[in-house]
Amino acid sequence: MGNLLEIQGLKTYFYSDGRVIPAVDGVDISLRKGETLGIVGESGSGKSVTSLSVMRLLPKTGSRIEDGQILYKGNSLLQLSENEMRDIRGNEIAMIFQEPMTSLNPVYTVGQQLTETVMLHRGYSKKEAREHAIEMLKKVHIPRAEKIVDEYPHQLSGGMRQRVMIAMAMSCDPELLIADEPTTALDVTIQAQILDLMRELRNTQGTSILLITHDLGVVAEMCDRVVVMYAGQVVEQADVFTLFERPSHPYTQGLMKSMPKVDQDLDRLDSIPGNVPLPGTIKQGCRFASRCPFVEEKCLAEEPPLYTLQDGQQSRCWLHADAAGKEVAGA
Amino acid sequence: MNTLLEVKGLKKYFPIRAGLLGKTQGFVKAVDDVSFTVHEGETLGIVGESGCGKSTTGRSIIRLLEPTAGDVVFKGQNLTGLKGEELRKMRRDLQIVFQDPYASLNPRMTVGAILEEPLKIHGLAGTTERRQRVKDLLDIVGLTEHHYNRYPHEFSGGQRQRIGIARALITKPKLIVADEPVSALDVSIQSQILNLMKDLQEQFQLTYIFISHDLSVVRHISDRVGVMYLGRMVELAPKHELYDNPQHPYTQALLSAVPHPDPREVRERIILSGDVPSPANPPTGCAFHTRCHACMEICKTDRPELKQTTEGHWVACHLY
Repeated sequence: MGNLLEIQGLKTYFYSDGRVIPAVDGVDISLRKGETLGIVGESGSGKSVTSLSVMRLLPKTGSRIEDGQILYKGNSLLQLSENEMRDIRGNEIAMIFQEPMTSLNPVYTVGQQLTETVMLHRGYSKKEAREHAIEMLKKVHIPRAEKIVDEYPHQLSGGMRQRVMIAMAMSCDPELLIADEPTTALDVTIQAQILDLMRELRNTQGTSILLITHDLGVVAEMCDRVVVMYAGQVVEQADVFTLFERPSHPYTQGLMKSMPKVDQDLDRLDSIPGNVPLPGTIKQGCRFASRCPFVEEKCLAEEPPLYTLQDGQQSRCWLHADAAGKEVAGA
Repeated sequence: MNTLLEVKGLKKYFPIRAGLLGKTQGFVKAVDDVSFTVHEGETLGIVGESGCGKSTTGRSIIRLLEPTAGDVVFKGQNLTGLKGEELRKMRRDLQIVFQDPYASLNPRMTVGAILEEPLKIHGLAGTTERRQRVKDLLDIVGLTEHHYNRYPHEFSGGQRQRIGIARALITKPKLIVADEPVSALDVSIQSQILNLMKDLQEQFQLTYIFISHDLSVVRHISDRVGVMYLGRMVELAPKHELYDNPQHPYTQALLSAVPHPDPREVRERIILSGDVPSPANPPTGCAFHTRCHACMEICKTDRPELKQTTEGHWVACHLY
């Protein structure tokens, strides 16, 4: 399996009030064809900025991709002109956002928004596009698709809107779907419906998915491989079974222990002390050092590399220095 | 165990007004005949999805919203009839922690001023004592006295929620209604706040009504849990009973929908079809019958009452 998407050494910085905010600070992520890759992290970890960088949807002013490469099928997305990028966006790479209300246009009907992409990318006529839109609505199990197609977003519930967003994203049969917290705004029973739908589309269309979430439960259920981000960096990377069986980075371990479980009783939760750091506030050493239970002097002075352990698991922590040895130290 | 709070037949209807003269066209039945009791020192969790009326229930209890009908009896006194000075005195014992730590703290007041205000209003301490009590409390909730003169924007979400909790604690209340207190927080911060709330409960013998949509969080913090659907309490049971032996079809579906952080687990999931119906026009009979896999004829016409099936386990369903 070749890599469909390869992010190499990506640095996306924001500039405000003369300050530089390194939201994404040297990130390497690769996504194989047909794979569902999860990116997990808390607020400010840089997971959403990474996905917006891939789509080249960052705000024009105040942000810049400083360094790195984003290769899609081996071609650099960063070198494309805006027109060439538009051919890819919505067509080969589609995106679903967290807030289905704010990402649908309230003054256009569902049908108008659904037909736009296929008319642009596929050159469908209005009539063909409308039929296609209805077909897509049926595919995402929207009842009364022929009627809903003429309704406005505000007439739909949150779950229905997210279905419309998915229909829109899937309408050009994209190879890569980027889903940024697709179920976070939804109730748990609706979330179950939407995750079910995404799984179904993945299995029937073979779409590769980049799933951005803060919910480890969703990751366990959906993903093949997982990247854990913290303060703009990848701190751990592993296949989903390895990650949940033996998380190796202290941050991942802490995250898992701090979650209350629906099927278990814990008297006290282990919690990670301190606060999630603002990007750019930690200048030296490991970014997790101030909250880490295993912190040593070295952690405060020097930033650890991403070590490659067994089964392709990677972890950015000095704890692995002895076990892994210097010679196998990864990127 | 002593009963601290008893809610009987609580209803809160919001009028739907339309037209030029704003005539009432109908009602959104946000809370529709809910009854339960809260024992001293326990945590009662209330779970449900958006629009089920869990927050409205919490707010009606402490009379931030005026209940349409029903009684709220706190320490033997009916709160629904209280007015003015009497109500204010009673509120010393009943406090609330809100979900959004960004919207619920006045950005123009220092932390010190925010925390001293309840003491001033209730005339609980003199100037120097107030300051001391606030500083002590800051320490208890995991901040320091240096934070006294800071403004809310200087704090992170988790720290702000600590301030929100301190504000609720400062009058030494008996009961705290916590309305989604950790929903806006990151996972690693959420656990800090949950641990803090447990510690405080022990230290000050607090009673909590903990409202949340997150079933894992509710399981962790609660002693008993009530499940709401469309303005009604459909199941109420001790935590273990509810999670290990859910009886109402809605509770079963809700629990099965929670994604488990275990990639090897294969589970049979009950996927509910459709959405929650509008509370302005709820289904007749059992409110859940339109989505229920076990729906019978009687469910379409008769509203099921909350019945006790085993000790302490209450269910509103015609199956039982």
